[in-house]
Amino acid sequence: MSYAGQASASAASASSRSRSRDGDSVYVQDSMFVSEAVKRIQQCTAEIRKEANLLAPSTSAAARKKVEATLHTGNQAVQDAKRRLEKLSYNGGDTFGEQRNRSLMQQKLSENLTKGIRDLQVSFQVFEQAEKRLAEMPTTTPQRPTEDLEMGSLPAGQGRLQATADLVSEAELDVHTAIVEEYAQDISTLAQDVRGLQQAMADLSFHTKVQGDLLDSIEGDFLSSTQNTANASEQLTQASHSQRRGSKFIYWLLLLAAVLAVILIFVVVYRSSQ
Amino acid sequence: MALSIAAGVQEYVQAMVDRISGMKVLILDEETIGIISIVYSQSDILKHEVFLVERIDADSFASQEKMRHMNAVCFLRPTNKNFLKLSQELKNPKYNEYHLFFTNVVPHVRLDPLASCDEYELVKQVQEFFADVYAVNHDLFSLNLPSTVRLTEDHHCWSPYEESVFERIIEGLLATCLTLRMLPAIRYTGACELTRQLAHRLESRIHEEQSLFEGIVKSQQKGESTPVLLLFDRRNDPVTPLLQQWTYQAMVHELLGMTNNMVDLKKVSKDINRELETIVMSPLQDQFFNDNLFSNFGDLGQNIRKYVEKYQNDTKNTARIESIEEMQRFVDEYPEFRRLSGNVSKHVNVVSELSALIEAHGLLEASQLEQDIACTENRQEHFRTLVDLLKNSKITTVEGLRLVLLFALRYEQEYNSIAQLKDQLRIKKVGDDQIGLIDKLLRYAGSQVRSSDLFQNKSFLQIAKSTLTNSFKGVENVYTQHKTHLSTVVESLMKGRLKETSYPYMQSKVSGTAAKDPPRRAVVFVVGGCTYEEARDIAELNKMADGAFRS
Repeated sequence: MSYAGQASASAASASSRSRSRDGDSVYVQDSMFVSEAVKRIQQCTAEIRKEANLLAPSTSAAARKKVEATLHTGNQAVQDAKRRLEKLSYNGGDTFGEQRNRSLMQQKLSENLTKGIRDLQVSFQVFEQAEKRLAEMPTTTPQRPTEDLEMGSLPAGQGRLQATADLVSEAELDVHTAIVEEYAQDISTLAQDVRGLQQAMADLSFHTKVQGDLLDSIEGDFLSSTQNTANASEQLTQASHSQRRGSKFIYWLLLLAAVLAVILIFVVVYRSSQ
Repeated sequence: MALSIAAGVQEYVQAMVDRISGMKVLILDEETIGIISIVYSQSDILKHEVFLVERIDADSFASQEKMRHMNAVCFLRPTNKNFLKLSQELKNPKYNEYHLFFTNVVPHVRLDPLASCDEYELVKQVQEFFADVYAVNHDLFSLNLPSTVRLTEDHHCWSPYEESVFERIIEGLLATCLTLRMLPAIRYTGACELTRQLAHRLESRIHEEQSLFEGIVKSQQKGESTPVLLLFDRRNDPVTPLLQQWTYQAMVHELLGMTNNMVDLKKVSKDINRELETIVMSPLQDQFFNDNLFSNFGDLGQNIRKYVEKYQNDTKNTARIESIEEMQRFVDEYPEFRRLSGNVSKHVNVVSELSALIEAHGLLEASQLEQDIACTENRQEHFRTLVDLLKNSKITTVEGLRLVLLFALRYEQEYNSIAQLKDQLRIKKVGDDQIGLIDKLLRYAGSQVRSSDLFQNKSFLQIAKSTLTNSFKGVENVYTQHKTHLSTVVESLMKGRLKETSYPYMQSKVSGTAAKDPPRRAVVFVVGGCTYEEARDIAELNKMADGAFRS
């Protein structure tokens, strides 16, 4: 449908004029940029930690290169974020409330960034330590811990291997038993949760039945809110009146007490003088 | 294009709230709040990010706190009061931007002072959206005017209030034509000076605003017959508003009272559930109500029973929640189930209230006699039954008065009978001011004013015709045997048989002489207010003719 009667000349010209902005969009962009930078730093930290865990003699050189590149990216993100964060402080809001919100927002972003930088540094230190440990280790093929067990009592050769295999199987069994137990416990918890959920659904269904139709009218809502406001206003007026009445009563009491005290003093003085 | 006034208004509102992005506050006035809430629900408007609704004429509006994060969508009637309030608001703005939508033509002289108040240049657009009527149903609109009785007096006796009512009618009709995209040929009730004045003034307004109709004229010239706007005088049929209605919407309006589709059940029942004190009965938002708008009370009872049974079945299904799948299903169906639950309670409550009122007011007995007086000629029998009923304390004084009014309209010349009935009313403790209404009604819409043969008893041919029809056709339902005069007029209009002597055309300066072919589309405006019975008849005619009329 096309709409007849478009804007009149004078008001249409008013409509086409652009309004001066208060820097809202710049502020939002900056704060979003800092949040994104913190995210990037966290990703870099995770990447470095992963490399530290997977570090092996054969891949250590490549890993070092990769970690350095990631650290560089992370540092760049840190620098960018710091710059934007500083800029953010100059974009003040119009009202006091807005300024307070912005200050809180800046504080939060700053905390996130500091934490991100610390995590990045710690992860790099962890990587370096892992690298150092790897360098200190003998160049022999790594052996499974079970093979280093003291087996002095066993005969050499096949008997020693058999005992090792038994120990391995026992350890594996223990691990599997623990997993099964944990799994069974999880299932039990889940079943309990499902029962709870079922009860919640039954309750919800019951409440739904007893609930009536709600007023879904713009005019009705407006009228009821106006009515409620009027009632609240009336209550406040009543409260104010009764408070004023109460205060008046206390003042009168105080005046009466003062008058009585004066009379009493006067009588005492008069009697004592007599 | 479908001829639905409700769809037209909805389309305007939708276009208005969709055009502006972000969080919005809707600023309305005392009329536009009703116009919007009748076609749009609170939840619908919330979907369009309208988080706040304010009234520009509310006392608290000026003192409210500033919300610069919100854009204001002002949907207002172009009245002096609104322009003043708007100017004050623009001088001390509370919102980020202002988008102004007026419901009718805005004179240019009004806009210049408004623009000068916009010191902060916050007004982004000014538009005219012609949603200026209350769209009650798809084929029924109202202007919510309290009374137009004094408009029937001589034009020189009108007070400024009558002038404003007259202008409001013109504005409403102009907006209706623009909403329905039609440039109509105007026909009016020949014997009624008021409808002639209205037709003349409307024609002048259309001529003044002909630029708005340019697009419509082009689309209309593609072979379609000229639509008609018929101005019908209420005084031609004073009987229909006096009859007790038995269709759902009409009964709710008549017995419970309905204002802009809202029903206040507190007024009729003290021990009503708190959540059901005020309810919305909107055919646009409530499917059950829409399906049963024109169902008579008997059919309605049946349909309510089926509805409750459906709800019970759904309740059984929701009570069985044993697996994750059933829970998922319940959560998915929960909103619909909740809506159904509320709706069932609402309709059951309304119907039980209606039933209690029918019983308490003795409406069945009264209605049977009402219909009989309206449809058949039998003075002695009617008089006797009416006196018996008035002596019977079961019917209320209002019902008694209504029956006497009907009797007086049909047997206007029977002065003695009417005087006796007035005495009976006095015995029933009806006040003199109310008894005085009988003479007032006869002066307002008596046979000397009516141009039509309402009771079909003016000529021998009409008497014979109605007697034959009644004897051969019989009566299907004694409570709904009355057929409105308006439906007969509209039927003749759509067949091209409506006499020009009774309903002449107003000469058009924009479209020239209108073609006298039967129109495909027509809007009927009843000056003096229309009834739900007439709306039902038009809806039935529409159903038969596939959407041709609006009233």
